[in-house]
Amino acid sequence: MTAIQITDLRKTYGSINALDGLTLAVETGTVFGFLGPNGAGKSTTLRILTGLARPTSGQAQIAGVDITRRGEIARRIGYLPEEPAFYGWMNPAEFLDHVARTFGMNAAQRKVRAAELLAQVGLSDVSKRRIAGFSRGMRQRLGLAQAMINHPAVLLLDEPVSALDPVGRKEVLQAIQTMRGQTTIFMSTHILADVERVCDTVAIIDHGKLVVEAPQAELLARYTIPAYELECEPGSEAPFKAWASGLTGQPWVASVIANGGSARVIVNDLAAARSGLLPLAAASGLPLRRFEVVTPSLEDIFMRLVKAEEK
Amino acid sequence: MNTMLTFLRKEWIEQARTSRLIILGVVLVFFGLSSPLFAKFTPQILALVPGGEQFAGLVPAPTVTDAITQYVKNINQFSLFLAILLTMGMVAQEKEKGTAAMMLVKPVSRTAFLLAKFVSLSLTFLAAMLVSGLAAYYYTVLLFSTPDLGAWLGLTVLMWVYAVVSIAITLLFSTLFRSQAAAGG
Repeated sequence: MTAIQITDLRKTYGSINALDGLTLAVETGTVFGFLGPNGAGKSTTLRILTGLARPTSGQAQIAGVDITRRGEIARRIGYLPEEPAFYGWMNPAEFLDHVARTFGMNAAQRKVRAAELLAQVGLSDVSKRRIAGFSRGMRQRLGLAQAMINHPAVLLLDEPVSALDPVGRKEVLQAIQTMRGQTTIFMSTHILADVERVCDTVAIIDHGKLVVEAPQAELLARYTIPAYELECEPGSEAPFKAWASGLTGQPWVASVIANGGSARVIVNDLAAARSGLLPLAAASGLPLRRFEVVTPSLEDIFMRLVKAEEK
Repeated sequence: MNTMLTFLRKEWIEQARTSRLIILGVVLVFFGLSSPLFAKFTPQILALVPGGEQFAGLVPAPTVTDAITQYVKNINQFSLFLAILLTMGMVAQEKEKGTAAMMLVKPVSRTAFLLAKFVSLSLTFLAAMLVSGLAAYYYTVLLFSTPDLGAWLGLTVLMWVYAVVSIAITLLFSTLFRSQAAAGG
């Protein structure tokens, strides 16, 4: 079952194509990372999904309900905008109570749910403090809590951690982690480290179009660079360079880029290299500082794909 | 209907906590009380001002009509002023800050969201203007003669209708424009 189905979605603002035929499917229960550079159309997609903006053309369904049916959609989603805003004169408990009322929850339900969520996002201690004095991280966590009040089928998060300091970011990501399994999470971001930490499936969009969509592990595997990186201790650069250049003689080595005290060995047979390279290095007797398989980060893949797209 | 009540509740609490309620009450009651007073004592006040003695003689003896005219002028002016001031930010501010986006993705109709603001402010004005009207009536009775209470209340309610229209128009502009200033102007 798909939690979100987007089909050929387009949105134009004047002559600008914010979304240019976006098609995307999000599986139920995943934590979906929606990646793209600034201006790629991430926020526009989220605003359309929540009903705050109308698409120029195309369709989308959330949990099987068409987004044009606003009332029904509102009961199935939770939304955290990029900069959540609150009534500063309320305290968190009052704000959650106000939001819970819009869903027609009774007094007992409201009380239980608000306490539960405040504990989940770590705001129980400050539940009686005015929101006006809250830090950005606290606001973001309160934003998460209000989005979860109705047990939504899909949680839509717009750049939930982009504006936060490292501590705030860690706390919000932890809060998101605790929501895994309770709902499908669809989060837009341009910070890849966060995606690597929490998301299991990733879609990259650029210029309003889908570039790639795949489970994170699969994406990393697909774009793996078959290479090793070696580095010697200072003082033995010259013999190291000579030894590394000599590796081109091995049948499983495609090429060697030696640069001072480090070398990148690109191989054409990972299995053979795995068993062959380390013994050779040991036999050379050179003092090595580092020996590792190059793993591409999501960032490398992102840069490659977005650049390829631009060409 | 239920969400309408939810938002009415929010507007009431907001008015109370941001002291809008108090400001409105204090300003209108002050002018309610002071209008007949000023009507009565203008000649005396003029007489006390150096060089004002010559004008004091020119001012005819104040009557109950003067008290009523003063009252209507003041309340009309200040209720219009306050209606614009208190209403202009109501929607524009929520749009600007983003609270509107937070709330409108909930199962809330736009109608309930706006109507709650209109109804809450209109009722607050009604209460403040009735209190101010009774205050003015009391002083008029004390200082002049006793006007017909029913007519007096009718007069007050008519001024309230005028304020409500101002609220409605300002609310419309507050919805259309992004900035508070544009809405107020």
